[in-house]
Amino acid sequence: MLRKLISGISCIVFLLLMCHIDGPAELSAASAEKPDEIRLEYLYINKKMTPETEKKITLFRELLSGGRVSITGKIADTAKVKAVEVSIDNKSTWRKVRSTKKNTFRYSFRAEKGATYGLLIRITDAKGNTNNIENTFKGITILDRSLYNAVGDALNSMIEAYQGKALGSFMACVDDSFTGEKVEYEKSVQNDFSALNDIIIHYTLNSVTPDYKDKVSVALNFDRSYTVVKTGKRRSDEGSTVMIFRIDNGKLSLYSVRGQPLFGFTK
Amino acid sequence: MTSANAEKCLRNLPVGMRPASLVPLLLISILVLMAPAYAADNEVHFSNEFAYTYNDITGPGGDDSSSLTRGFRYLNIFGFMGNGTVRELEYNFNLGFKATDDRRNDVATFSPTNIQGRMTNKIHTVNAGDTFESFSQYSLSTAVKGASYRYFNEQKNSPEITMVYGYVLPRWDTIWGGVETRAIERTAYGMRIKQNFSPNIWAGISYVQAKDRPGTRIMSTDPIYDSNNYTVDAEYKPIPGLAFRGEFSTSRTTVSPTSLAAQNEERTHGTASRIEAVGEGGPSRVSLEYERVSTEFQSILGSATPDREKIKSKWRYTMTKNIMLNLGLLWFRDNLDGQKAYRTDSYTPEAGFTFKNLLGRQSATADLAYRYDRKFGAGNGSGISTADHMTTLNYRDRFGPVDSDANVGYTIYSTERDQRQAKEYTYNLSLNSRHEIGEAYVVKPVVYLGGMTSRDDLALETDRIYEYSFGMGFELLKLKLNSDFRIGQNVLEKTAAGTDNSTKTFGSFNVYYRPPFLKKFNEGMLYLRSFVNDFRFSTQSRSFRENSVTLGVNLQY
Repeated sequence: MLRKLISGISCIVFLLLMCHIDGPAELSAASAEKPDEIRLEYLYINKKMTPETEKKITLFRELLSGGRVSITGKIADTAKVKAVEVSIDNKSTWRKVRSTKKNTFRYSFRAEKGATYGLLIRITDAKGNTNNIENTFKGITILDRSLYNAVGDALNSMIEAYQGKALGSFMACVDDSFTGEKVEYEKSVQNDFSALNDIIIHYTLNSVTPDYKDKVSVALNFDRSYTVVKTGKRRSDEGSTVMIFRIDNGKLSLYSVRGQPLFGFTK
Repeated sequence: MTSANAEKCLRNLPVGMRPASLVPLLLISILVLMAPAYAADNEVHFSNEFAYTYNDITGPGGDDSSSLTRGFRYLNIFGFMGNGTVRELEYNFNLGFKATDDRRNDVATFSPTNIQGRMTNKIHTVNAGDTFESFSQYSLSTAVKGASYRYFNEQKNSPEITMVYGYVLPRWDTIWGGVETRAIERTAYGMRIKQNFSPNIWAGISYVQAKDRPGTRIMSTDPIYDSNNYTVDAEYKPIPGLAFRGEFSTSRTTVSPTSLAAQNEERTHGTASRIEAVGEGGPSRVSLEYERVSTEFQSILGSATPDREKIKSKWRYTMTKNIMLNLGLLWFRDNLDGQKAYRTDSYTPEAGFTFKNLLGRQSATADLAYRYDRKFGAGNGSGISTADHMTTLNYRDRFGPVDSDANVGYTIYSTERDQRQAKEYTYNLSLNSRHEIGEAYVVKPVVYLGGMTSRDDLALETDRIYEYSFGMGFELLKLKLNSDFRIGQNVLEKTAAGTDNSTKTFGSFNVYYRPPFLKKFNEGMLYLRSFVNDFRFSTQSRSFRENSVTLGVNLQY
């Protein structure tokens, strides 16, 4: 009964909130300035569909095929396209790209580590009208550190927070879509903090395997020692585990855990 | 160096280090010579980190309790990666090896870490070696040692077809390695077809099979799986800022719990489904999720918790420029088929506020959060109910040159029928600062004070933990040298009879130096890391001290 009541209330709250959600302000403003016929229907950057509202994109260079950023787009069929041009230096220079009969186009460029590219797309129709160029802006940053180092940094942050029993800092490294349920994971880690004192963890990476979309699988060996608060005795153990991190705009957060848990192992 | 000298040097090296250190050194030499020959569109890089450690453990309790291995130990991690374009084909590759004589680092002296190559012409993509294809949550999100092929023509908006095959093994040397690296031989293959029907709708279907080879059991009681998953997933975005996602999966699994008899095989058939709605716009972000995973559902290569029905909702609301509200509710239950003696319902509502610009202080941020964790064990009455309350407060601020981070927490644990009644207080404060002295030096002092008090109201016992430390970081900018030290104590005081009080006194000292002669190697660095941990227990036979010094060099090219 209580369950039904809670789910009912949640649904009502959700629907009420949805009624008050407005579209992004920039979208409405942009459509007022330029005719809506000349617009991008979709845009893929490195095979990932990027909505118009996503303006900042951060990429690891080693995840780029051949070290290149690839852009594929489709222009809405409402426009009779005469020319498509791409700028990667914030409108300083433009390069013409060929569009197909189906109004699609493709462009790629070699990206350098640590560089930032201001991507814009200019579409011109048969009458000489152009799209709202500003709406197509994407700031693409190529990180100057390797994915391997980024994985090490993410693990070090988690271990530092775990050893210092900083629950808030630790959970900030766990993704909201964590597959084992984030709240339950938090409880397990908190249980470790209550049950153990003076935790020391060392690890070595076995493999770092990206899926070239938004995840990376990390296999590692670890050893840890800790004092069990209940008995006051010092213990040490070792094992291996696989952690899957989600990559979102260059930031890694824990998405899933397989095998022997490194954290949250006392519950 | 002459060959005679080289041989002499080799003889002087510790036995375990000789072959392992030579292989990467040889590879490094070849790569350094090769690198300039590559054209601008093709590049190779390597990285090598070599660390040589001396660990010393003294005291009667060291053998049982220390996580260090005594004596001189080395660890070498080598990586070789590249990418480029050959005609229409773009390629990436990544090779890595690890060598160590410290069994705490690895069970094998020499082992490959990454072996991976990828090639694409933007429509066809082939990946070989370490392969990670994540189809969906229930079907496949596991890396394999094998290969995958993907077809996707973005310009034609074709279906995205992915096929994958490989061994599900944690390491390469399991394939050919000895007893230490043995694992059950599990093969996986799968296929996924995903179609974007419009920029706002996509759907995918996946099939995945995971099969264990019976003859590769480690223990006779190891279960052997033969599992098939059929999955459909989709996403729909009706308006900007609103997304619906759903997934349905069915599994057919044969499990052989022991190797003793064929009739022990158990065949199960289960389903899992979830639907999620996420709305984002204006000051609000709302998410609602429902999931039901049947008791017999198995996801060997994906992620699912069998025997669970769940509802989760979250609402993040920016009330004003400086106040944000977070509300959440998680409910789940088990015993979906009535197979257990009792059913457990878990309710976890939580609420939190974030205050910025607190009391007019621009640098001040406070997080206040409360979580109630209620579990009802019902049914025939054999279940035990719990009701835990957790409150935390975090305050971050800057006072002049000092950054502060303070946390306090109060938790009440309550389990019915006098199983547990306990309270826990946690508190910590860290202060750190950065001072520039001229243009050449930076000094960074750090102070940490923290602790926890845990009171068991039933046993009338109290545990107290204190930790305090002081540290200082130094940066010599012109010399490109960083160093830091930290000293402190961690004390555990217990009132329960027959248990140990303990004190750990610790110190660490680290130096990181980028010498000019390593300038050619991007991020090339020499380092020294050292620490001392001195553990003293009431039972003196448990006391020990561990000292460790590591010298290392990290090169990247």
